[in-house]
Amino acid sequence: MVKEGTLNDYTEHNSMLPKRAVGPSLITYNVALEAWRRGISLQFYTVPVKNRMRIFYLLEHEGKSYKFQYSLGGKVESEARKIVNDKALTKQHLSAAGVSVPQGKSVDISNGVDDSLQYAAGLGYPVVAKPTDGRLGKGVLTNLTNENELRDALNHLKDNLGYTDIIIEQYIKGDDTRVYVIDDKVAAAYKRIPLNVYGDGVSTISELVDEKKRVRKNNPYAKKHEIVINETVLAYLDSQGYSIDTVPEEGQRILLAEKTLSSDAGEKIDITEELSDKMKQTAIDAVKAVPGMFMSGLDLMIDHERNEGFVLELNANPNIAGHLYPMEGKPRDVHKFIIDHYFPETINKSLEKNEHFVYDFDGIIDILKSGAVKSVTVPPLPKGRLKAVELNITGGSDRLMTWIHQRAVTQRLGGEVLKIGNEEFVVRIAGRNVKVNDFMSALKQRITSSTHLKISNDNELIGLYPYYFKRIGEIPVIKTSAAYSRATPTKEKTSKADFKKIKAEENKNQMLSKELQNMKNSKSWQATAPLRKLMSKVNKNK
Amino acid sequence: MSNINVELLPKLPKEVVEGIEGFKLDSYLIALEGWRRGLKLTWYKESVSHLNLAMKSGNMTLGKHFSLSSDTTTHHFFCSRGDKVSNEAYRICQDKKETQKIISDKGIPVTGGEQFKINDKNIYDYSEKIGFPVVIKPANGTMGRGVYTNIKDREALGNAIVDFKKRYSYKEILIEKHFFGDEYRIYVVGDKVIGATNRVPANVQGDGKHSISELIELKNEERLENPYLKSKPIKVDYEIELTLKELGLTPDSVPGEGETISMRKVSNLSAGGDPLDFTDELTDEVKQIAIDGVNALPSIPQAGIDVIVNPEDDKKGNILEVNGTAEIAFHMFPWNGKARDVSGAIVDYYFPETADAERSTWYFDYPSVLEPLRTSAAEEVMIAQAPVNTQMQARRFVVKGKVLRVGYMSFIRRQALKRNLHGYVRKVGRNTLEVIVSGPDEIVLENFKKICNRGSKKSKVESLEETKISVNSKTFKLGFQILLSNKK
Repeated sequence: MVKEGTLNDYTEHNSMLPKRAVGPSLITYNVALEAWRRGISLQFYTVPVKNRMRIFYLLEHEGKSYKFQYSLGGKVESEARKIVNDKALTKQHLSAAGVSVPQGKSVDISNGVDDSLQYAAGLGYPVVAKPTDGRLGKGVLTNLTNENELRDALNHLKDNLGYTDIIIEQYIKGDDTRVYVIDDKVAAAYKRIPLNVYGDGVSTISELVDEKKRVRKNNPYAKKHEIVINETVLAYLDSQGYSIDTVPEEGQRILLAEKTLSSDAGEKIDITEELSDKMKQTAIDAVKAVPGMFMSGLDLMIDHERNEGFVLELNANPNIAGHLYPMEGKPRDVHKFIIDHYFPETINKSLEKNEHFVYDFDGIIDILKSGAVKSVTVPPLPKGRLKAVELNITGGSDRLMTWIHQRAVTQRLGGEVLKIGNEEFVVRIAGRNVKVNDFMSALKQRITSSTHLKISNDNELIGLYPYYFKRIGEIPVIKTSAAYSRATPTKEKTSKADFKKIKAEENKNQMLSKELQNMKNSKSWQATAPLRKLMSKVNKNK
Repeated sequence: MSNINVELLPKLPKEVVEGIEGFKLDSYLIALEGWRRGLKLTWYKESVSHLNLAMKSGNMTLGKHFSLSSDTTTHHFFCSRGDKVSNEAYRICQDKKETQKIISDKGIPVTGGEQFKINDKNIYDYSEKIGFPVVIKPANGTMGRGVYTNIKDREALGNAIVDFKKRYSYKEILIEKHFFGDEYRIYVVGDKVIGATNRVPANVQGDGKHSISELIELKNEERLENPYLKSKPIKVDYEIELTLKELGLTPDSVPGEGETISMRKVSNLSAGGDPLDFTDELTDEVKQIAIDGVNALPSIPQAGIDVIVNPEDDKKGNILEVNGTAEIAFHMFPWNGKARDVSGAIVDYYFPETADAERSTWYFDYPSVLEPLRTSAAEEVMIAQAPVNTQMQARRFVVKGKVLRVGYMSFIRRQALKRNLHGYVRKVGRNTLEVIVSGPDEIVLENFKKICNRGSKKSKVESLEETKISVNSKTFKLGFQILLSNKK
């Protein structure tokens, strides 16, 4: 069991993500990547939805094909989606199935709020007011403790946000939990808590916040939302009797804000294994209550003391990134479960060798967004025996680099050629044995006596290979990294000393060097196999 | 001194074919035509498995393999050659001798000739037999390479063979009788001649004032205006200097007014030759020879046929060869005469149901849609559907204020693309931008106008003047570009 408060460090994984894999595209990237790696055909395409160009992707395997947007595939019937997008309808189905939901009902406030206020009085405060068809937590106003607050809330919803169909229900105090259910099983669950720090008995709140900021910056999902220590935060700390110089005790969690708000400023803590059987069953029953729904991310308010859970809503296209990249706790491979569901013939058939490849998400998204292209089909991964070669070239011209690039593309090899200095290149290629060998023979024939090849790896697939051959100018940083697991093992919290090391390394332009070797061997980078990943910030336009 | 003797196709203004050359131009012209008629257009990465069109090995196929699809049919193309041309026919066309045999067996006149190994001593006797002057050409050559014409006697033959062996590594050659008369490339689709072009060797016409090198420079400038000839300037090389010497001239000589100086012996266009449109001048009889010739071969409904017309009787001609992947661009962008719509004829043939389809006048950025194929990020790329002007509206805004160097142009570009609006923005004056935008929905255009008015974070729009323009007033390109001020 992971020690509470240990933050997941996704620095490595984050540095390898394509630039366009941010926000909801992060989900698209991960689900599509998993499918592609399993040999499923992948095609990205655009669809105009209400005058906006949206990106979908098509997965095909053994005669089956499904259209996906983010994590939602075409198998979920539109009937099910309609029910789930209407909170009032959802509530009806859940109640009918005996699933516990907060008591409440939907009201129409287009002609005034008096009826609603009366209803709330009968229900008992505090209450929650939310639009029946709102999305992403928009317009959800919780913990309204009296009539005035409710009136203001309703007027705000009507006048400022334009909603007239509202649900008024009891406010449940408890853990705001998101549970992902698929095929009658709870695949993952996390609880949302407000911005916070976890004390170690030594660091001040300010220092803990700095560490949290650094960790968040490298969390592929949380990095979108920067923490700001503003007046509100200071006031809230003050109200709890703290200041930013307070040193919290070890194990003491201090909140920096009062609410989580369903949009992602809060933090997610994986609690999949801690969920009680009763809560699991509630979640499973909730999804079963909507006909045609076999997978869903649902919001459950859990009152742990009384072991009661209330289902707030279901989502057809939930943001699964929180499961993949929780701030604390074990990351859960929800994207893999989704592919397992759609293409059961690929379960347990994933090939380890394919985990070494990535497709050109950035290039594909860019061309789709340019307005000229309707669809892009991604080349399938090579089959059969694969190998990789890494070499260092000195005395090589830019023309040689171009030749290498063209040749690699023709031979259907993945990898990259990087210029690391004047006439010096590093080449990493991976692909079918035969093709790699052909490439190497051709290369050896092509070079002159003034060019030297030094082969540093000849066989194993190490690290990640772009499967679209990449050509990069000067590289700024070289790092070793753990394979393709998302978070470094959370067995110990990364020490300050290591943080400093990471920072120093990030700020310097390192070349393949002795320091690198030391990094490879040092304990803080527990890699299962030593790897090198070359980071690029560049200029894909050659 | 512009060339006013040519009538080009209005549907292909310069910008539509900007930056596209050679065989890619052929692919693009057919692809564009099909796409403009509403067919789905897909480009493929090279060496794609379902490419069962025959190709010479080692071809870089990027941008040359594409398919057009209607709701019911798909046809694949490699350059100008579509999949109704059988691989067998293509193979036959590679072998000039075999081609000629099949054609002459059907009673259609050919130039004849025999194939020999370059070192075969029998070449001399055969030449005597068919009668000098003769022509040497490689059995499987292209682009006019290795062709020696008008060889008058055994001695000249010997010299030609020596020179040939020095320059080329072809082992098999053809010896033919030199037919005097003009050679025409005739493009046939189905049973019709769509275009006939006379390719003449690089030449200039004197004006009594300019030297030959100056005339060449001037002509090259004119050639730049022709999208096809743009990449084929006349280059003064050893062959030109040699030819001029034989005429008693040098590059500094000043030819008299109206005097035409031919500077090469071979007429191929890549060496600076001129494609002259002769479609209307060619006799029906010669056209029929070409049609019959290509129909004699198994399953090749579209091809370029080379015919030499008898100088004494223009109803007579002899077929030299048939080209399975013939260039079509020079028929569509001739040096003089009328441009012929070969791409239209080809798409009519493969998709007859589109002959009356409403045509889009739009185009797309061909080099950038190929980019993901070039890097192998993609296996196939399908182009977005061609907008049809009757369903589109256009607006023009002139925006003034602090709108330069503040991210304004990138901002409105992003906003336009998000909404599937097309057009461009460019600087037209100090603190002044012109925005041209097109889309199908009036409301979306209105919203976009509001966004242009509001501007980006750091910009400050002082005024926005709108004019409604006709979407037909411009040739639109897919996407939204930020243009450098001097471009259209």
